[in-house]
Amino acid sequence: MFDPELIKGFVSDSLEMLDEVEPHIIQLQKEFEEKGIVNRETLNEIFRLFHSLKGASAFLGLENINKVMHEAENLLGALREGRINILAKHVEAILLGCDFIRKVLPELQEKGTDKDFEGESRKVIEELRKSLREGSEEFQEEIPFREAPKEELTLERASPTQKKVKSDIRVDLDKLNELNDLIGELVIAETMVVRNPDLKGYRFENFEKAAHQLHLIISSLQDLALSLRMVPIGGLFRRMIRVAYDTAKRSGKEVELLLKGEETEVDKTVIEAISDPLVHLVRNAVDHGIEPPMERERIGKPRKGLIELEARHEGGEVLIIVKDDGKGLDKESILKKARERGLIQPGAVLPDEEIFQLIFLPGFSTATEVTEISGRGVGMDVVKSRVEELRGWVEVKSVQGRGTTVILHLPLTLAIIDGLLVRIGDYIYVLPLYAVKELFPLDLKEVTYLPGGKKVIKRHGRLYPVVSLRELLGMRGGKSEEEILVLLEQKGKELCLGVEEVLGQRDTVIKPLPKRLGKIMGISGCSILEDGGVCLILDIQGILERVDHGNLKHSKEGGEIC
Amino acid sequence: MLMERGQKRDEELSNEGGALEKYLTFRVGEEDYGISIQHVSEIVGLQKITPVPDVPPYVKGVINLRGKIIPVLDMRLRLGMPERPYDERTCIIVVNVEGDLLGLIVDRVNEVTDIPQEQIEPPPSEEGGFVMGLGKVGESVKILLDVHKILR
Repeated sequence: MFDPELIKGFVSDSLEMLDEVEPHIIQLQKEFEEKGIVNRETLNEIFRLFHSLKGASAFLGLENINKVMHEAENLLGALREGRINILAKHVEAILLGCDFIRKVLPELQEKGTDKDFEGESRKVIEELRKSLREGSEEFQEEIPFREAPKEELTLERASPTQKKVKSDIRVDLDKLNELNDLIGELVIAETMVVRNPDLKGYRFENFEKAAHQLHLIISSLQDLALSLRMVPIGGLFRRMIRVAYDTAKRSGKEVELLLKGEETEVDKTVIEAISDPLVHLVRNAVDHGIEPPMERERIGKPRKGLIELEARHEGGEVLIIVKDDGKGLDKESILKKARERGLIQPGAVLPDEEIFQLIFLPGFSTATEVTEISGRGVGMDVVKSRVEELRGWVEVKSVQGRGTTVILHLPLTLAIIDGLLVRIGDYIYVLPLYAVKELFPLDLKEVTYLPGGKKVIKRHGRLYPVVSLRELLGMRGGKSEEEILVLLEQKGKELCLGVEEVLGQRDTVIKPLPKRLGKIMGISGCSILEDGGVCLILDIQGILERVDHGNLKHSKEGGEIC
Repeated sequence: MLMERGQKRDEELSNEGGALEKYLTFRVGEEDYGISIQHVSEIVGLQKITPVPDVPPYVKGVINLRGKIIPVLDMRLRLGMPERPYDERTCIIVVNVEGDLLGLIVDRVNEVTDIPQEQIEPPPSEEGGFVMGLGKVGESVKILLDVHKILR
C-alpha cells in the first residue's frame, strides 16, 4: 500500500490529464474526417499524456490501470507511426479507456488500489485490441507488455517539447480561507488605528497620508487574496467537448462545439457547483435544440449544428452562455404543457421571457426527458435551483427556428456577497441585494390585519405579505419599530420584510456560522463589520420558508385588487 | 511534606498525567466550577454578542474572535440559574472542544488550581449531565465540568 498522499496526487493528476486528453482526441478525429490530415503534434501530446500516466501507474503498482494504459498506448503508437488511419472507432476505444480510468479513480482514492477492476479492465483491453486489429490491414503482432522504466518518465517530463510550463502550486483551500480571515482582521485593525478615539479632534497631515497609503495596500492585498480562489473556466469548458460528442453520437446529431472566453476566471467553488448544470444544458442543446442533419439540410441550415459555449465577465457577474442554432423553444407547446400540468392559469397571457422560464419549473420535463438524463438526476429545475443557490439567475432567449440561448448569471465569487445592510434594534443584518426589489416606508394605512395576526400590504395595486424581521427571527426583548419595508423576491415568491433602518449597500465577506450551532433556517452565514462586530447574512429562500412555517398565507402572484 | 508533593508532581508530569490535574476555576452564582486547563484556549473580556435565532436560550449568540466566529454560552442559564446583568468581572472563557472554539460567559474567573485525581469524586449517580466530578480543594468543592457536553 502506498502513501495516501501519492495516491491522491495520482488521482488529481489523472483527472487533469483526462480533461486535457479527451478534447484532443475528438479534435484529432474531426480534423482527419474533415481535412484528411492527422495533426502530429496533437497526437504526440496525447501519446505523451498516456505515457506518463502509464509510468505513474506502474510506479504505484496499479496493474489494471497500467494494462489499460499500455493497450491504449499501443493503439496510439500505431496511429502515430501511421500504421493505421484514425477512425471514429479508435476514438471511441480510447475514450472507453478514459472512462475506465474515471471510474476507477474514486475507488482508488478511497481504497488505494485498483485490483477490484480486473474484469472490467479486461473488457476495455479487449476493445482497444479489437479496434487496433481492425484498423491495421496487415495484422500487427501484439507488442509485448513492457514496464515503463522510470528514467524514461523523467526524461519525458523534462523534455523541451513540453509546451506548457506549469508554474502553479496546489494550495489547501483552508489555508486560503485563513489568509482571507487574517486580511479581514487587518481591515478591522486598520480602522481601529486610523479612527482611534485618541486621535479625535486632531489633524495629522503626515499620519493621514501614511494611513491612506496603508489603506491602498490593504485593499489590493484583499483583492489579491480573493483572486487566489479564481481559476480559468477553460478546464470545465473542455470537458463539455466530450459531453457534446457523446450526446451527438447517441442522438444521431452532428454538432460543432465552439468555446469562447476559456481564460475567464471564476471562483473554484462556483466552477465545481455548475459542472453538472452545464453538462445538462449542453446535452439539452444537442438533444432538444439541434435538429437531425437531414432536417437541417432540408430547411437550408448547415448539416452540423453549432453550439457556442461562452464565458465572460460583465458588470460584476460572470456570464456563462450556452447558445445553439437549433429549432428554438416552441412557445405554444410550452404553454400547452404548462396548462395541462396546472402550472399556469388557463387564460393567462405571459410575456415571452416568462413563458421560457416555465421550463425551469419542477415537474415540467416530460417523462422521456427524465430517462434521457438518467443517472445524473439533473433537470432544468435543478439547473435553476443550483444557480440560485450560488446567488445567480438564469436567463433564456429563444427564437423559433433560429435557436436558444441560456445565460447563467453568476457572482464572481462566493466569498463575497453584494448585500444590503439593515438594522433591527442594536443589530445589523445583511440581505443579498439581488433579491431586493424595492424599499419603501411602511404606511400603516395600507396594512390589512388578517385573522390569526398575519398582515398584508397594498402596494401599486397588489397585495404582499408583510413580516417583521424581528418577529421572524424570534428576537427576545425590544419591540417592533419597523419603519421601512424591503420587498424581496425569489423564485416568484414575494415578501415585504419590515426593518427599522436601511444602512446601505456593501460588499460583504461571507463567513460560515459555527458548525456546532447546526443549520439555522434563514441564515446563510455571517460577516464581520468594520467595528469588529458580527452581523448575520439572511438567506432569502430560508426566510420565505420561515414565513411558510408560520403558516402565513399569501398568494403566489401577490393577487390583484379590483 | 511540600517536598514530597513536589516530587510526586514531577513523577506525574513525566507520566504525562500532570496536565490533566490543572483546572481553571471560575464562579457562577454561589458555586465554584472548574474545567480542565487543556481545553482552555484563552480568556477574553465581554464584548458585543450577536444573537442567533433558533438556538437554546443559553446560547447568547456569536462573537468575532480575531476573525473566527465562535458561539458564546451563558453559563448561568446553562446551569439553570436566573440571568443577571453582566458586570466588569464578567468574562468569556474560550474553550477548545475538538478543534471548535466555544465561549463560556462566567461571573468571574478565579485561578488555575491543581486538583490531584484522588481528590476528585464522581458526581452523584443521578446527575448525568455535564458534571465530570467534584474536586476537593482544602475546605471548598469545585464542580468540574465536561466541556464536550456543554453544547450539544
